[in-house]
Amino acid sequence: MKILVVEDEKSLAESIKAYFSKEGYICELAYNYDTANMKIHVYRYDCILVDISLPDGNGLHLINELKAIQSQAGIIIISARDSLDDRIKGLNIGSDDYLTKPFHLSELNARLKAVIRRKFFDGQKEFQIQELKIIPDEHLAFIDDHQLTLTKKEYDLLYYFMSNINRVITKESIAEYLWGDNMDMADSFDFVYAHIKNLRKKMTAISGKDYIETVYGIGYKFRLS
Amino acid sequence: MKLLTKTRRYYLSLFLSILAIWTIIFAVAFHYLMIDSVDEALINQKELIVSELKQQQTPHLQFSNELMSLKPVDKTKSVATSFSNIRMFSRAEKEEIPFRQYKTTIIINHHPYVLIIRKSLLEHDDLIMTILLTEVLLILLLFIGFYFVNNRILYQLWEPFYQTLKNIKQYNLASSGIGVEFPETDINEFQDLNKELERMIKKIRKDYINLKEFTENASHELQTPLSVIKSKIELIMQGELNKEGEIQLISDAYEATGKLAKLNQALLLLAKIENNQYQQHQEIDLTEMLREKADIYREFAAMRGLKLELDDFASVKLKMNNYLAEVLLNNLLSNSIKHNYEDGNIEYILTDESLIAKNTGYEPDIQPEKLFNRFQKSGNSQQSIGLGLAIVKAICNLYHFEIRYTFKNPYHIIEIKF
Repeated sequence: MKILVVEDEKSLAESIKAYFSKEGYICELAYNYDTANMKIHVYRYDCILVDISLPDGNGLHLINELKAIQSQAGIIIISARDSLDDRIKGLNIGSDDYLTKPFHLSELNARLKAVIRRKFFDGQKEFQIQELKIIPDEHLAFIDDHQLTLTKKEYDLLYYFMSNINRVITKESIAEYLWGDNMDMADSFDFVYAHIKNLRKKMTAISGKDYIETVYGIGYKFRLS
Repeated sequence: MKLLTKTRRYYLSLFLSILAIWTIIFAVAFHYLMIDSVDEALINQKELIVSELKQQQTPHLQFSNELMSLKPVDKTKSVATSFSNIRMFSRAEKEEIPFRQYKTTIIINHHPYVLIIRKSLLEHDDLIMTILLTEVLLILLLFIGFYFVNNRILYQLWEPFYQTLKNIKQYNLASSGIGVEFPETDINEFQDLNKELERMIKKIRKDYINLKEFTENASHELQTPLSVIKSKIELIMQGELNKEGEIQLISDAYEATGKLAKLNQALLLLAKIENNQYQQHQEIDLTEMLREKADIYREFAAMRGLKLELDDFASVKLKMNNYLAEVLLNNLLSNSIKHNYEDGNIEYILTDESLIAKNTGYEPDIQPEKLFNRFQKSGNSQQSIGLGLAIVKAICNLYHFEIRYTFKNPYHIIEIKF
């Protein structure tokens, strides 16, 4: 999987690269519009992360450029601009997702995977890792073909975990993933905990294994051997 | 008080005092003139009487009536000539009336007599009254005339001023353009006023735009370094953290970063609302939206044993920005859950006129009117950033909704009138 990160803030681009390298992706960086433009014309990428405000150009033009050369790459906009207009504009000209800074790397990872799956595993409706299987369109989950009866939130949670296997996932990022930015709840972590407890119980009941490891003080880790 | 009313009042008091002073001066002066002329007439009359009596050669003349009396006196007892005002009964008027009396000694055929002649002053008093009344009438007429002419002149003179005032009132820093059109005028003071106002408005507008851009840019610029910090901490977390102390440090830093990011987003939102940047308004079914939101929040409410009830029989439609309507309901609902106690109650009543958000909770330790200020928070919630209600208030201000908070033990009540 080859990914291009177009982001002028070098540190942030490096962070993204470091996170994705562990996923086994090949990650290239472009710190400005010109480099990015050159790269998309020369190489083929599976997914491109674009910051809208670049020092020498607008990230939206880059998306137009991609469409002009009929690139099949998935496009995710990462922007500091949180306005609805920008979001709609970005999605209208053909980006697949829009993420507002500051974001959680684990969330970016989950979104990236979702985009890639939609783009490249079109016929394949399932998302399977070892004994775990999810059918996103139908919101169904299985362990070794035993169906899990999950609530909507528990399903979302499992999906998020399966996108970030063996990674430390903070409770903040889980809360944001489940309820969105608007959820300004002081004790939403209690809710995260309650959902995790239920998911863990349901999964253990079928497989006898505890997939969810608690990382004290930080969050959780979804373990698959 | 209006300028015209104030001017009118000054003129009225000026006219009245002139009228009063003038009336007194006129009355006194006229009175003395009258007395003078009566005295003259009396002296003339005396001369006539004397010359008349001299020709008659009658000794020991003596007679007396209302207007005249003649009495012989001793040579030694002759009186000094004098004028005096007296009041005595008049047979003609059948009452006591004022007279001018002239008392003098005359010599007829070597015999001294005391002659007293009187003249009624009644007509003179009447005359003074009549003249005064006419004068007062004249002045009143003058005043009324002046009043109307003056109004007209004042209005015409101040017209450019009122026009300027009207234009300023219509000016809106956020929505109007660069400047205000001021009326042409040939009055220097108004020209100055307009020029200065124009200069001031341009300056304020420039500062306002600068500030607006600054707030927005600052918040935007903060997002990127925040992303960097957040991502770096996340990467550290992915490594092996052995010591428990390390984990605590990292998780504290991460939590604080998250809070900072939320705070920054809230401030940015507040700045955008106050800068009137949410311009797209559409008709929103508030009832539907409230039901959806309540379903989401019921989960949180249930976790704390709270009951969330909706009383929304009416289908309420409002013209609002969709996003702002969502923010409004989100903030109200999360507020109702946050500032509550275990097993409490939440009740939302939505009607065509208002939305009432009621929830149980402890008595607030801040004054109700301060509740909507930025960064005001009640002591028991350390987690909240204290901008939720400030944002609610800003949205209400934007749409000219009236918002009121009351505490009726044990209910916190926020009422928003549409």
